[in-house]
Amino acid sequence: MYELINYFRGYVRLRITGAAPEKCLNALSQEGIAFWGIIKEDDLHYSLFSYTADAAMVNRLAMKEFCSCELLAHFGFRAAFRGLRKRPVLLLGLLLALTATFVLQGFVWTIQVEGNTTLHEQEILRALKTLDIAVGTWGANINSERTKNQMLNLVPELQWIAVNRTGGYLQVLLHERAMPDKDEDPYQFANVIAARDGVLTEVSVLEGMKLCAAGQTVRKGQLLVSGYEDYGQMTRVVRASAEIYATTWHTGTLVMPSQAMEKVYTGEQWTQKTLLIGEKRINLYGNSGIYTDNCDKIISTRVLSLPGGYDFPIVLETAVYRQYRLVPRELSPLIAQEQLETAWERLTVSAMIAGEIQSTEASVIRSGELYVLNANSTCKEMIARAMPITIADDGAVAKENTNDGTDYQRREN
Amino acid sequence: MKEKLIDDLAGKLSIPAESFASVPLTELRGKRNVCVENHGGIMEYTDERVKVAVRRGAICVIGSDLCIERMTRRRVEIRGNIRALELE
Repeated sequence: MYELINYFRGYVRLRITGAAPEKCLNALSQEGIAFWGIIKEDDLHYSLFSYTADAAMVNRLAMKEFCSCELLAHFGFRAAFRGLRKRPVLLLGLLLALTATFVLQGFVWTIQVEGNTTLHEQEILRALKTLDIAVGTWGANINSERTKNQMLNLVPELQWIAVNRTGGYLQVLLHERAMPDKDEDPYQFANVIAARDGVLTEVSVLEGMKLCAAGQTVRKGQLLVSGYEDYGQMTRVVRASAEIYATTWHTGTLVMPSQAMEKVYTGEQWTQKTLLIGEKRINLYGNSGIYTDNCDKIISTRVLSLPGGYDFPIVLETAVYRQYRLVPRELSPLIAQEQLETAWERLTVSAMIAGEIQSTEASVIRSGELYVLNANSTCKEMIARAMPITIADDGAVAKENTNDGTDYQRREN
Repeated sequence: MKEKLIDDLAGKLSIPAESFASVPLTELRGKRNVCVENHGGIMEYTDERVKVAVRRGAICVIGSDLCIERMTRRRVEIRGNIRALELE
């Protein structure tokens, strides 16, 4: 404790030289001046510590006792930081560091969202922002319990949420509510019909009455599996489900211009740097940053982060603009055919529920300023498609489907 | 006469005599530290001997590597290898 008091009061090392230095010590003690660490260097020289404020008095009393007093060194807080007065930048840095330590940690600087699977982090951050919780919020204003309740109201997908703040770090832990599977069909009863003309190759019925077989030719819209299961005495309505593959044929025409606009880089490029502090953007360039010319913009960001992985909300964004001009270029037939075939393949695959292209016959001809592709693809395709059956209020099944081949339907007809 | 009176009074009241008179109080802590209260100043200070003036006499600390650690108006603390204390 004494050391701490001495450090902040400041103390000096003094050497007292005289014929009888112990008389000087007596005089100091009589005057009530505190001193300690008295070392007798020899008969004529004593050295001791005393408070800086008492140094002048010690000198005066020493002279009164026919001794001399020599100041050897300064110690304590003021002595340690006295040099800072001559180094204002260092002093400023020290003040900033102290500010950062004791003031800035009162604000929220990093928000970490954990536990989200389907909800995007930005959705949570937006909801928090409506509650005035964002980067830069004063941490003492955040009430964890109130925030939890308000967030549960704001985001119905949340089952529970916890908001914990540690200094400038806000951790948002959440658990999402188990939502019903969106892929599941919303209707209860359904038939399975053919999505396209074709020859059936595989028929696998999971639910419902099978009305088709492999090798059979079917038309688009034809009933393949009925949702009415006929048990003779009774009929049960179900949601028919089947996996039915067929050989199908896709025929079509694609057209593209014989000239394409191609990017040619002029070689000119700009770099623009932007500093993002929280949600504030500070442009580090002089102009507006809006370019009317054709430019490619490539953005790279660098986030200031700690070695532990926590990111500060300070991001340096570098945008590189590469100017280009569009030049018309004649496409060769080979390239045109290649591009058209690729586009045809992509189009055909996207038109199928599931399946693959087995073979394609295609021909490309040039017609004026156009390349025309005529293609015919043979595919193995899943053609089963569910068609809902609606039931009227009185319990009767609405006649949506022409003929499902069951006794129930025949009786109705 | 006065000292005897103070001693008698302090004894009857069960009050330490040094608390209301300049009666010296010497505390010896082990063999390394001695503290003298109500002193009258240093009379002699060497490595082997420190002589502290007290009311009507002196207390002499004898030993080796003796050093006055701290000194205030009321008390003086002496540290070192203490061998003997003499009252004069």
